[in-house]
Amino acid sequence: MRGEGGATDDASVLRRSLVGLVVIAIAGLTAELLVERHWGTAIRLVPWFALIALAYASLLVMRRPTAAAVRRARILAVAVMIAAAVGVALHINENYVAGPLDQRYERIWASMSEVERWSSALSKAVGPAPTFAPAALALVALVLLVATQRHPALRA
Amino acid sequence: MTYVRTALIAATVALVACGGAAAAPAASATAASAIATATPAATSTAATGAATSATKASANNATAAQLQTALEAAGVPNASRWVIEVQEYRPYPVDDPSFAKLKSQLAKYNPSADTLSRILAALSLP
Repeated sequence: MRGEGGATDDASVLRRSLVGLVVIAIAGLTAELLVERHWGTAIRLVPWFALIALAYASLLVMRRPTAAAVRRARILAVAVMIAAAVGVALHINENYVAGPLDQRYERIWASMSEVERWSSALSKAVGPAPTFAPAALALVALVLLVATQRHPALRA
Repeated sequence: MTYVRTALIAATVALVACGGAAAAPAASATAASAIATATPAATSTAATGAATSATKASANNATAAQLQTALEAAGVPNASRWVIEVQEYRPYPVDDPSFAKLKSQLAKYNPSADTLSRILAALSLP
């Protein structure tokens, strides 16, 4: 937190608080991925890389940030948001593909309309993937992005 | 410090909310746990017949084609999709002939007890 020289003005305190929030959220999401055993295939490792990117971006903002470092942190945050959006789409698709495997749907899946199928996948009525869980990554990245708003390093 | 306290409270609320959403397989949880406790002994007559007459495939080593052949022979619906799931959670402990690991993974998809027992009957270890 030496980036702003321990400044005590409101903006600096709020900025540090937001970055602290990001660090706490990264720890929480790491625990969640561990509990979910979110690995085994290459695509399942994406959120781990996203968390590493967020942790690195947080460090960039916390430790003597230069204008280049803040921009790099912003780029990483945007990349994580994109990855999170793709993750939501993949989770919905995972649920959709799992539709005919579910005993409640295996006999009726073929007769359901596409709207009904995707709606079931979106609402997680069918399938194992928590639809909007990846969006938590986007939220954390957004908080980091907000923390870089009007950053003093960008004015230097 | 006020900001830090506010941020910590907000973080706690956000994480609890995220955890709740991620751990939401509520509707299927009961059925899934019922399936997870089902044993091959609950296999239907048809499944048993298919399992004894069909060639089993190794859960750890068989190719996708071999698995699909075994599952189709056992009468598993959507065999090609189940092959992907069986392969995804490899390796399976060779000292676990009841396929507890595989059962717990497949239970997430809420298959019927009959389908699950047909799948297990078509697999062997190692």
